[in-house]
Amino acid sequence: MGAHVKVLPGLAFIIVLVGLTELACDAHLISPAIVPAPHDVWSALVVGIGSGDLWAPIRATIAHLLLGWCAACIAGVALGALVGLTAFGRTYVAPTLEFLRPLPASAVAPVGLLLIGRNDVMIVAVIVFGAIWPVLLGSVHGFAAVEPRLRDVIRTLQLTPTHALRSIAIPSALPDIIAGARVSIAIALILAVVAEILASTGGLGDWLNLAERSYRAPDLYAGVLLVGLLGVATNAGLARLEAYLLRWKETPAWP
Amino acid sequence: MIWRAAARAALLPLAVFAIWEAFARAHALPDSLSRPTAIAAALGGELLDGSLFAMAGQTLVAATAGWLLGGALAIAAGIAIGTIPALRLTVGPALELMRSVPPVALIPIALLAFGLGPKLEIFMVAFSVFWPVIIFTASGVGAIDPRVLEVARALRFSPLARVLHFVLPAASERIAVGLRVGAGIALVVAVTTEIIANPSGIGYGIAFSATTLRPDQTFADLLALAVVGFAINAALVGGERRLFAWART
Repeated sequence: MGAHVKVLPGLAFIIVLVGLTELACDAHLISPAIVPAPHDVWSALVVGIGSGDLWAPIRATIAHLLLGWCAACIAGVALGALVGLTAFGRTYVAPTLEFLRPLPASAVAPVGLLLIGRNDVMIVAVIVFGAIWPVLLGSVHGFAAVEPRLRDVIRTLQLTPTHALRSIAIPSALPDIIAGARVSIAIALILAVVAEILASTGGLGDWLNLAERSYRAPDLYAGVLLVGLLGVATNAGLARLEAYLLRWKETPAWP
Repeated sequence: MIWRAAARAALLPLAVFAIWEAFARAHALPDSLSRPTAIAAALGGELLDGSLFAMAGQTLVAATAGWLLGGALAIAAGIAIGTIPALRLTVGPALELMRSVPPVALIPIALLAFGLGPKLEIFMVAFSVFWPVIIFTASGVGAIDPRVLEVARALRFSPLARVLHFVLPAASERIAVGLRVGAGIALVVAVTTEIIANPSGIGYGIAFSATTLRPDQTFADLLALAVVGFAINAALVGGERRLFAWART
């Protein structure tokens, strides 16, 4: 039995679901202002992409997302190394980070609005603040948990700090960092949408907000579809990046 | 020993507050950053007139209601999916697809459907909590030793009794993890919904004071929210550890 047979029931169910929605909309069982007919959503998507109206928000959101996420990863790893590798960091800095971590990240969006104003810098800053936590905590944990025998190796070989960092600390912390980075990008997408809605200076969040305010339900659903697609794409991309960066790790015996 | 650790932990925030206060008093910072003493005064005022408790109460009620609703539906759905393989095969991919949409993107749709009010917030929380709970429940049910269920069937327990007396207890530890993850998400989504749309609760307090240029209140509410988030997290981790001490012997 091939893998394609196993996905068949799932695919059929999705098709039936979309078909039923279409029928219910055509029969006026559901209000098209709340749930538009799937073919309307499809044509909104085709028209939006064909006319280029949807490209600008897509590009803006991808730019916010990647810029914010990359900055969060770099800052998170640097700060994580500082906290995880030094006794000073673990005693004095780590508790504050633990306190701030459960703070809902979207709550800083209004503060960003207040301090920075309605612009792209604010959107990226909000993403950085919210998306840094998983990377930061992953790298604190990864750097703090360097195998003690490897610390002996560093001492015995009298490695310079940079050399030790590059050849021992970073590789041993990498799995934790990447796991954090994968959670981060999901949070970054959420915050991109939230901050774009608040800033209303472009992006898919802004698109959703405008479509909702002017009761253009098909455009709204097309936007939600694209945000979901972006989530799937970034997740799949990071899974591949993880496999590539960690290819040196022992691969399990089963495929 | 604990006091010493606590004092050390408080050193960094206190240093930041002191520098912040000094720079603000020297007018070296923009007014929108406020200053720690003004924030403390705003916090004190909101605590004394009870407005902070009212806001936190609104947020917590909506988050709890959504958490219970989403959690209950997810446990039921997770058990169904976990025990009926054909169902998992059929609806699994559709659920996977829906799960990949960030919940916040659905706030505008929920706004069309429910308008402003508690229903909007409860729906958003329930929808977001549903996913972690259904995943943990289904995985917990899937990990049950099949022989346990065979015995239950051989003893002629009804399907409902099998679920209540065998499936639920065996999967309860995983379900509890899902509910804990869900509770963290519930607070985040409730606050986010309040910031973007729903005019109630602590999220609205933060958004409203920010747009009306009262940074002292914004930071005070943010601090209160951090304390609430920290307390919920600590209570859940502690509660789960106590509840399932028996499972870790």
